[in-house]
Amino acid sequence: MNRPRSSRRVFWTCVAFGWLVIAYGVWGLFDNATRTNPEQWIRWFMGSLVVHDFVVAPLTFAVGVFLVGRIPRHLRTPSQGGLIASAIVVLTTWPLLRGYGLRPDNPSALPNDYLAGLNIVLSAVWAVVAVVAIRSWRRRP
Amino acid sequence: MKSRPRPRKGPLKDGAFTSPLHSPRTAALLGIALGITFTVCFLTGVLSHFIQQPPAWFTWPSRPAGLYRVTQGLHVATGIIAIPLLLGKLWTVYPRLWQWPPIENPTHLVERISLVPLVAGSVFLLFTGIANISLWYPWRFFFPAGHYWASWITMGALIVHVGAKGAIVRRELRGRDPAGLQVTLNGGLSRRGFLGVLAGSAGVLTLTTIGQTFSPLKGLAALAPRRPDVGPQGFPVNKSAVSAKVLGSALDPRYRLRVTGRVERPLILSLDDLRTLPRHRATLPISCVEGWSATVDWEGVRVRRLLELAGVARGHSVRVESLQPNGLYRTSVLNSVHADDPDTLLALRCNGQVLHIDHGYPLRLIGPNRPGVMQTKWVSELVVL
Ligand code: HEM
Repeated sequence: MNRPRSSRRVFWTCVAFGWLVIAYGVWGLFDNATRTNPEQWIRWFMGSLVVHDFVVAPLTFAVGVFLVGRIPRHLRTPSQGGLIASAIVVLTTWPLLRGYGLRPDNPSALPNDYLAGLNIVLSAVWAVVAVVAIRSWRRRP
Repeated sequence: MKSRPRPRKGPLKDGAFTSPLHSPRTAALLGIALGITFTVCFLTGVLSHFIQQPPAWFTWPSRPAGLYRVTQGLHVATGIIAIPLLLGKLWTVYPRLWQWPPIENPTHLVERISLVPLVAGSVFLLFTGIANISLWYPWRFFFPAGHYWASWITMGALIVHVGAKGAIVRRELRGRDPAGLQVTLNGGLSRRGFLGVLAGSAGVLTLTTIGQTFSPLKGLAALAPRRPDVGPQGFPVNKSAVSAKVLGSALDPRYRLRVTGRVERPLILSLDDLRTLPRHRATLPISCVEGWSATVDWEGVRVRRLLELAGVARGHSVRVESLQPNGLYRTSVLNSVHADDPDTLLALRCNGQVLHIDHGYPLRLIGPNRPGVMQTKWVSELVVL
């Protein structure tokens, strides 16, 4: 598919300004090295990219490829939606579910039963999935 | 550039990605949504940084009392909303990672190199942000500093990205798109369906967390790291007396509050002295940088009143020191506007009771429109600057 290009002037202005801002960030990172610990920071920063692009994304595609042939055609749309929403909620809540931040001296931190909360949320998500699935099953040709 | 044949393997194979959702239009729509959430997140984040480490030209007002609660609540809420948007966006454009040839021309090279800080920075900011509000610190750097400088790098990269993709976005927004509702060949979600699922996920995450700062929805806050009404005396604690190592000094009968620095008469006051001073009541939020907040009734002595007793004119800023032996938050500064505000108190009581030691017994600072980390607990000294 052909993709229009931004005008050269706009593009190079944004490149110049954007990299100026990036340079300011890199300067700040090293100027505050006692707090930012650049060696550690770079590991987590680049690690974020590597883990996303070469672990999380390929796994997502692998799950998709694995499931697509195994789910009846008319249930694919709702189950795909349900799986995406569930994965997002689980990923976001993961540190709470594992209770990494629990501390014995402070019971007000992470006070909820997060597994119970997650169960409620996922039940609601899959209830919606079920309704949509039943409707699309009935409407199948 | 002479194009070499595309290797016919794995993600490099022609047609390796079949879903029509990997389209520029999906990328453009998600891009706009991300651009808005990242910008709000960036501005509120930089604001919070300036409040805590003010540059010379910046004076944070003490009113409206609940402003910081709103800006920081917004910071955390937009960060959470950005999670589904970012994951959806990266999934949509993932095939472009494997485009062939990888580099088309020098311009394209610059564009692609700028994607490294963009993708790394976006994932890094959202991951560290979520871990931080979950009180999880698996890395060895100081979170606020690492997160802050990463945000400049990411926003710089975002500016380059918008410069590169602006023309596509404009084309995609022009006119209607007949393919929006089309179900894909293998029966998957349509584009509207996909965007709807991402929006729905953002909605679910918001509804189940926003109650940590917006208390009318606290009943729904099943996935929030805090509840505004859970904690000693009915609201949360961030740093306990045990972890601040003040159990001994805070309960010591020889406790004294000192008012020193540029004063006419230095003051040394015992708890009994403090209790005989005129009391003032104020209902003020405690608003954590981590995005939770709670409204509390406070009772104590006005900072302004103590400064008067020490012979300090209006217009001075004050450093507030804690009994805490160490830690980056053992002191905070009241700029002159905050120091002179009639609701800025050294509180002795909250919600009708003597302060719980985890809330800063015997004496804590509480003022309008301040981040929680600057509401110093276990106050031992006011140093007039
Ligand atoms: C905030 C974080 C963002 C991240 C991490 C991100 C990431 C990416 C990546 C990795 C690509 C693929 C680049 C390529 O090789 O062509 C891309 C493409 C694109 N982005 Fe973004 N982006 C973000 C925000 C935005 C914003 C704010 C806009 C527009 C306002 C935008 C619009 C686009 C467009 C139109 C494409 C082209 C899709 C195509 O040609 O198929 N993105 N983005």
